[in-house]
Order: sequence, then C-alpha cells, then structure tokens
Amino acid sequence: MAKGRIKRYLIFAKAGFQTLIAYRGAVLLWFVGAIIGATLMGLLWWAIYSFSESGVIGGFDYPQMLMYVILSAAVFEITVSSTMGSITDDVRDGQIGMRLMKPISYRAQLCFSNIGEFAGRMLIFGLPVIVGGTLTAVFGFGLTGIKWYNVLLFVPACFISLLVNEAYGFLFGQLAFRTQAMFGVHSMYMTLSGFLSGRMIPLGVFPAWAQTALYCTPFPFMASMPVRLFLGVMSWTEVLAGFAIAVAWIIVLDVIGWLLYKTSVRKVVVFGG
Amino acid sequence: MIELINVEKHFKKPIRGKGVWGMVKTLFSRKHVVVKAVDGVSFTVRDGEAVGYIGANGAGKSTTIKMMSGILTPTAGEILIDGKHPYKSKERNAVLKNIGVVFGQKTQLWYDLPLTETYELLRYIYDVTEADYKRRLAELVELLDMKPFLDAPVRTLSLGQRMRADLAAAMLHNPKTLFLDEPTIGLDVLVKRNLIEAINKLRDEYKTSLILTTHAMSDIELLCKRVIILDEGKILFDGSLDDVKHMFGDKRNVTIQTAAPIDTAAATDKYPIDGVTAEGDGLLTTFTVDAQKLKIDVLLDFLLKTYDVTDVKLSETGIEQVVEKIYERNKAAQALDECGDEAADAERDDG
Repeated sequence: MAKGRIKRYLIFAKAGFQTLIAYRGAVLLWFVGAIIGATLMGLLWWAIYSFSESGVIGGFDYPQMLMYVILSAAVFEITVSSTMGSITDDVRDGQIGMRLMKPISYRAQLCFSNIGEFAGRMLIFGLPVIVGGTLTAVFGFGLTGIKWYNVLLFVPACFISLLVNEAYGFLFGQLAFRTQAMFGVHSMYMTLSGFLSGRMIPLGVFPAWAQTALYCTPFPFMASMPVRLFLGVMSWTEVLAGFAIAVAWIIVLDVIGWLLYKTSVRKVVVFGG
Repeated sequence: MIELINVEKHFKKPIRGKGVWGMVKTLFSRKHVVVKAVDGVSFTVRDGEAVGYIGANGAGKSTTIKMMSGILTPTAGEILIDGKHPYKSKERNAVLKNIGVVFGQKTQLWYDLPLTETYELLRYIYDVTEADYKRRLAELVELLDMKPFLDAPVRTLSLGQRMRADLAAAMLHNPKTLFLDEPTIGLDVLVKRNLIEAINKLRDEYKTSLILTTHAMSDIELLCKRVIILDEGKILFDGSLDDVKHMFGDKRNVTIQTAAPIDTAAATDKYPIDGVTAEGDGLLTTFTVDAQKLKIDVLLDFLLKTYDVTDVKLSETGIEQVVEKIYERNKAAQALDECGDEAADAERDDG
C-alpha cells in the first residue's frame, strides 16, 4: 500500500523530468542564457578585483569568486522551482479545478514534479556546467581548496536548496488565489531570493550583523550555502548548522504554506465555469 | 447513488463603483453582495441513470458539478455520493476515485507529455491494476479511434482529438459516475456525433451514471432520458425528456431567406404553424413548428415551391426558449393557485 502510494508520487517526478526535456530549443537556450550570465558576472568581478589592493573581496580571491559566480548560476538553474508558476497558470487558466478533482494531493503533485525537474536539471545542465566551470577555474585561474567530500555533499545540499525553493514558491503561489498581479509578485519573489540568497552578490560582502541575521533565514540555502560548501570555505560546524537551519525552515515554510493553502482553495472562483 | 439535499452555494461579490473614482473607492471598500449561485437544489440520481442538467449561462450548473466533485463546499445542505460527502477531506478521495470528469473547456491531460504517459500517470493516481489498465486502454483506444495520436504530445492534438482523449482519461479508472460539462462545445457535427456515440457505448458497457450539462438540446436528446432544468440556482423542472417534449412540443425553427419580403398567410393558413417572425427587412422569415404535428420536409417542400427561397436554415428550440416557456407555465400555475386561494378564502368568509 505504502509502496503504491510512493510510486503514485514518483510518477509525477518522472513526468516532471519528461516535461523538462520536452522542448529541445528551451534546453539549448537555457545553456546559452546561463553561460552568458556567468561570463558577464565573471568579467564584472574581474573589473572590480582590478581595483582591489588586497585581491580579496568578501573573503574570496578572484579564482574563488569566479567559481562562486559559475556555481551560483548553476545552483539557481538546478534548484529553481516551477511551483509558483504552475499555481499561477492553474489558477489563471482555470485548470486548478481539474487538479483538485484528482484523488491525490495537489501539494505533493507540485513537489514531486519539481523533484523530477531537479534530477533532469542536475544531469543535463548541472553536471556539464559545474565540471566545465571547475576545470576552467582550477586550470585556467589556479583555484585551489576543492575537496572530493565537499563536491559529494554539494548534491544533497542542492536537493535541500530545491526543497527550500519549492516551499518558498508554494508560499508565494498562494497569492495567485488572491490577486491577478502575479507578474509583480514574481518580480518580488525573484528579487528577494536573488539578493538575500547571495546569488546576485556573495553574502560575504554584507556587513557582519546582516550576515548573522541572514544565516538565520532560509535564503542562504538557496545559493550561498551550497556554493560555499563546494568551495570548501565552511567549517564542519557551519555545514551541520546550515543543514539543520535549512531543514527547520522547510518544515516551517511547509506548515505556513499548508495553512494558507487551506484558505486559498476556498477562494477558487466559480463564476463562468 | 447521488443525492443532493437542499444544497445552497453563496458567493460574496464586491460592489464595484462606476468610473475611475468608483474603482478607486472599491479598492478601499469591503462592501459586497451575496450571490446565491445554487439555491436549495435537491435531486437524486440512481446508479446507471443519465441526467441532462441544463440551464442558461450562470444558472449554477458548473457550481453544482464542482460541489459534487469535491472542489467546492456547499454553504448549506448536503451532497452524498454513495453515502459519502465529496467535500469532506476524509471522504473526498474515496468519492473522487469513483468519479470521472470531462470539462469541454478544460483538460486533465498533461500538456507537454504524450497521451500514453498521461494515461500512465492517471493509472497510478487512481490505483488501476496493470491488467485492468491495459485492457481498458485498448478498449478505449479502439472505441474512440485514438491510435493515430496515442504517442503525440497533448499540445499537438486537435480539439476533437483532445476531447476524445479527455473522455478516455475520465473513463480509464472505470468510474461509477461521469460528469460531462459541455463536452461537445466547439466540435464539428461529425466529431460531435462520434463522441456522443462513444459515450453511449461506454455507458452501455460500464453502466456508468451520467450527469451532462450542455447548451445543446440535441446532446441531451441523444444521451439522456431525464432532464433537470436550472435557472438562477433553482430547479425549474425535473422530469423525463418526453415530458419536456410533451409540454412544449418538439419545436423546430425553419428559417428561409427570400429575395423580397413574403406574405406568410399562404403557409399559416394551410399548416399548423406556432409562430412566424421576420428579420432583416423581411428577407429572413422564421416559421416555428411542432415537429410532432407537422413534418419538416412537408413544410420545406411547400415553402420552396411557394416562395422564391435563396437559403434555408433549420434549428431546434434553444434552452433559453425552454426556460422561458417553463417560467411562463410556472407563473400561470402560480396565478391560478393564488386565484384558487382567494376563492377559498372568500368561500370561508361567506361560510
């Protein structure tokens, strides 16, 4: 019975994977976009480092910063969640009714689809970009300090990052039941997470008090933590504390999301079929 | 068995002001009106029965279906499907496993996946055993002629193909009840006929109960023997399709286009014609007749021989006309009751 139930949800992960690779053009554009973004950020930091006397900004030298830029772009692409977009589409197109008529949890459908997409993104995009980026940073720019166990831990860290992103997206997605202005909500969602997670700028350049406050929020696990873990600049205590905080936030975000969702489904508009 | 007992569904609708200033005021106002989308609806559908649930736009049909399929909770009253409430979280899944739904304007298929993959997903969602799944899918593919597009992604299907695929998706788990909400909307005549034939065959084979909402009387005629007519959330009529026909006759409209306005007396004097209307400067004339009293081919033959006809259009009475007639009948009955009551009161007073 339990096996059947798990299989029911895993089939959504499979569907998520298949949906991800349904469009060849989209996969190609995805690579091109991410590579252009990482290259521009790499060049921007090159210019900034040329003005730095110590050669160290936010605790990173240039090879580390280059790797940070490549990895944060890769982590974003691997762990980005489609949950908020799916809820918005379902509510706007009226498909939400069809989803809710299934004898299966809507929340679980979304979550497992994301897990499938995550697997696809990791294999198709993450692996080649991270391997290529690491080889470039190590042999082209002299990056040192990368350990095999950090690379191994990076994979579960990305998975936790996906779950944080997914819960965060589900929370914001509840606004789709309450407002039509989801474009603005999406911008706010992306800007907040991009800035506070360390994806746009490493958190090391923030004031110490801001860093302390931010590490108590779920945001650093969306980019900064997995990247710093990979770079080997975190102590074991920081790693363990980081995982614990992230798991605690996943639970908190899920509970809040669930409570909001309970009120959201009552708002399903019925006029006009 | 489906039972609806005094079901009501109310919605709050904000009162919107007119013009720009009115819209600004609406931003800060919490004033609203309560709309009764469904207002005291009661009926029972037996196992295997096919019911046409009809009414004009906004009558409350889709809201009722959404309550029966567990998306919405009634404001008052009770809905029982095989003794379970579809909107109660603990009973919901048990009810939903025995329901199939086709919404003409929505799909339950996964847009980017091939059909076979969507069906595989549904197999797991509804816990269908592999043997049952293979057997039923093969039957549905043959019946609905889906072989040519079974491996195509859903996004590439035509509307007719998509409707057939949606019907198969709704029947894959062999539901006891099938809700069809305007399943033939937008389909051409041939595709529509094939779909209706397939629904009838499926019902015969699986003994599925059917609740059909539509605006097309012809769909009801081909699929249902019982009709429930809804208007402004209330049931206006619940009875057999034959009763509807008996009450209102099998009304058809024959519209002819002529080069010049015509004198219709030749037709109305000769045949039992219920009504004549003229439009378009008298060039479009519509004769409304009861098909049970006057054969359409007889009237057509006469019109073609008598007038200089350039075009002909045949149509049946729309749901709006049926609802209008029922209203008139109910009002007449009400007036009669009131007269009767007054007479009885007068008699009592005299006594």
